[in-house]
Amino acid sequence: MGKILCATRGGEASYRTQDKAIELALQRGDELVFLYVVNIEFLNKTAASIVVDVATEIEHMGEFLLAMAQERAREAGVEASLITRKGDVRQEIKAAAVEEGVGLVVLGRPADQTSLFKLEALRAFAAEIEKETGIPAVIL
Amino acid sequence: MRTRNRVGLVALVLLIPFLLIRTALARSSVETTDEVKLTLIGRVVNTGGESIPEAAVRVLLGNQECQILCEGRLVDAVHTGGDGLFVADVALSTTQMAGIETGQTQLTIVATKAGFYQTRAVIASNDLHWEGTQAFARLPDIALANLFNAAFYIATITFVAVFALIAFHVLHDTLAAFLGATVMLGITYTVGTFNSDFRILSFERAIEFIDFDVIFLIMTLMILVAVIGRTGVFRWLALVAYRAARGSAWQLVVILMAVTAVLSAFLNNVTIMLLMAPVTIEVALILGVNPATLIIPEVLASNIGGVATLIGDPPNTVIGSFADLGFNQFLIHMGPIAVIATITLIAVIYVIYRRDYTAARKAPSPALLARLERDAQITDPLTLKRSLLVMGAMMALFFASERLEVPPSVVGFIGATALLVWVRPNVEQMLSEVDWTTLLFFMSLFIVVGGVQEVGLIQWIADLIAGIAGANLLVASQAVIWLSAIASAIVNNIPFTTAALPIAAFLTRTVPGAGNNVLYWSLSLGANMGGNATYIGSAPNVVAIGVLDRAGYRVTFVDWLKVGIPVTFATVLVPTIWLWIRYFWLKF
Repeated sequence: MGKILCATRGGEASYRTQDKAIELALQRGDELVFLYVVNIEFLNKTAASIVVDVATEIEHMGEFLLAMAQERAREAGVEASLITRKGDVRQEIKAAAVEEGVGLVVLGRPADQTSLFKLEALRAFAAEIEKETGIPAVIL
Repeated sequence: MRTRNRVGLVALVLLIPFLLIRTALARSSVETTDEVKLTLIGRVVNTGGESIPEAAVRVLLGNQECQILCEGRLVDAVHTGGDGLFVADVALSTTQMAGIETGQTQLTIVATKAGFYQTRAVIASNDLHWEGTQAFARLPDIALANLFNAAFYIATITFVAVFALIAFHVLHDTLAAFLGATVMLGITYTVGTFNSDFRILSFERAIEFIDFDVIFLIMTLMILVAVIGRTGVFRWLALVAYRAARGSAWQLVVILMAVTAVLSAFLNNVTIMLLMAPVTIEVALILGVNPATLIIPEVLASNIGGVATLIGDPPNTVIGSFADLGFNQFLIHMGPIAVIATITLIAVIYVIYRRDYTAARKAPSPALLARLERDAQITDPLTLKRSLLVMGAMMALFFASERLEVPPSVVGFIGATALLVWVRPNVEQMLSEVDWTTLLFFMSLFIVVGGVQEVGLIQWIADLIAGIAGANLLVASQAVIWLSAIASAIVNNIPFTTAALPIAAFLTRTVPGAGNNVLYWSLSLGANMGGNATYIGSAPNVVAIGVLDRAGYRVTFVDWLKVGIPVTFATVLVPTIWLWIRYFWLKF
C-alpha cells in the first residue's frame, strides 16, 4: 500500500481537490496524507506591529482545516493522516513528499482566473517535484 | 612788557596743541561712551506661521552690514533656533540710533534660508524701546516664502514615490520610507553641500521631526499586547462569542464586531486581527459560512474601534502627540464617533451579508467543535490576570495623565515595565519580538514628511485647502474629513495622517473657530474610516486578507471594494452628521 500526499490550503476551492485525492486513494488503496504549509509571507510587505507568534496561530488554523479534510476522507471511508509544516510552500511540499515516502503528490487545480497559482505555474511545479524527488505529481 | 608778551605768546603756542589734543581725546571719549547696544529679537516663520529654524539673520544699517555680537565674538549673521527665534546684539552710536529713530537711517533685518526667498524687514522707530542706555526692538514675525527650487521638486518626487511604493506594495513599507529618508538626506549632504538649492533638510532637523513620544508609546504597547497575546485570550474570546451566538451567524458577527471594536480601542488592532482571524475562520467553517463574511466585518470593526482612543489606532497616536491632545480628550470627542460608526457598520453589514448568514449550518460537526474548544483555551491564566491588572492600572493612569501632565509614552513605559517585572517573561525574547521594523517605519516616515514640510510642499497644499475653505470652518472640516477618507483608502493611513497633520494644524490656526480642535477630530475620523475602503488602506486589512488567503479564501481587491466602499461611505457620513450637530449646531 502506497501513500498519496495531498497539499491543501482548505477552503471551498480545495474541496474538489481533496475529494479527488480521496477518490484516488480509494481506487489505489493508498494511504492519504493531507499537508498544510504555514507560510506568513503576506506579512512581509506591511509595517504592521507583528509581536505575536503568527506562524503558530496559522498552524492552529491549518490543523483545523486539515481536520476538516480528514473528516471528509473518513466520511468517504478513507483514513487520512495530517501534517503541517512551516516555510516556503514549494520547498516544504517537496520535503514532505520525500520524508513521508509517498508515491504520488496531488496538487489542486486553480479554481478560476482569480486563483493565486496559475495552471501553467502549477504544471511547472509538478514537473519540478518529479524531477527533483522522482515522485510523480498530478494536478487535480 | 615785550618780554611778558613774548612769554604769553609762547604759552599760547604751547597751549593750542594741548587744547587740540584734549578736544580730540574728549571727542573720542564721547564717541566711546555714547555707543548704544541694540538688541533685536524676532522670529522667522514660513507663510503658514510655522517657525523656521536654522535661518540666517543679518543686520544692515543703510547698505552697510552690521557686525553682530554673538557669544562674545562678532559675526556677520546669527541663526534662528528650533522655535524660529533669533536674538541679534549690535553696537551703534547715538548718532546712528538717532538716525534710526528719526527715520533718516534704515536698519534692516535680512533673513535667508536655503529653499526660501530672502526677506527683509525694516525696523520702525516704534519698534524701539529704551531701558537706560540699552535699546531693544521686538520685531514682528518675518515670514519667508518658499522658493520652489530643486530641493522642492526632489523632495516632492521622493515623497510621492514613497507613497506609491507603499500603496502598491512594491516594497515593504519600512523599506520604502527608509529609502525616502535616505534620498532626502543623501541629496542634502552631497549635491546640497555645493549648491544650497539642493538642500532639503539637515540631519539635525530630520531628528527633530521624529516624534519620539509616538515611537515609545507604540513600542510599549507592542510589549503589552505581546504578553497578553500569549495567554490565548483572543482565541478564547472567539469561542465565547460562538457560544453566546447559539449557532446564529448574524448574532455571532455582531458579537465579534463589538468585541473587536472594544479591544481595538485599547490594544493594537493588527495584533488583535492576527490572533482573532485564524480562530474566526475556524468558527465560520464550523457554522458553514464563508469566513470572509465574518473576517471582513471584524477587521472593519477593529479599524472603527481604534478611532475611540489615543492608543487605538496609530493615526490617533500621531495626531495626539502632534496636537497635544490627551487620552481623555480623544475618548470624549472620538468615543461617541466610534460608537455611532460601529452601529452604522453593523447595519450596513446586515444589508450586505444577511443572505450568507441565514445560510449558516445549524448542526456543526461535533469533532470540529471539540477541536475548537480544545484549542481555544486560555493557556496562561496567571499571566492574563496580571496583564489585565496592569492594563487596568495603565488605563487609570491614562485617564489621569492630562491632570498629572504625564506624556502618554511615559504611561506606556510604566505599564510595559510593570508587566515585564511582574510576569517575568524571557525579556530577551520579548524584546526581540518588538516589531522594530514598524518603529523604523515610523521614524523614516517622520523624516520623509519633515523633508516635504521643510521645502514647503505641505504649506503649499495647506494654502490651497485654506483657499478653498476660506474662513468657513464647516467647509474646512468637510474638506479634511473627505479628503482624508479618500487618501487613506489609497495609501496606508499612517503616512497620510503624518503628512496631513501640519495642514490640519495650519487650518486650526487660521480658520476662525477652529480652536475647538474639530479639524483634528475630522482628520482622525476621515483617516481611520477611510482605511476601510480598500484592503491596502490599513495594516489590519492586509493581515486579515493574508490570513483568509492562507485558509484558501481569496478576497480580491474588487471583492473588498464591494463591502469597503459602502461601509466607508456610511461610517464617514453618519459620524459627520454627528460632528456637525456637536461642533457646529449645538456646540457642546
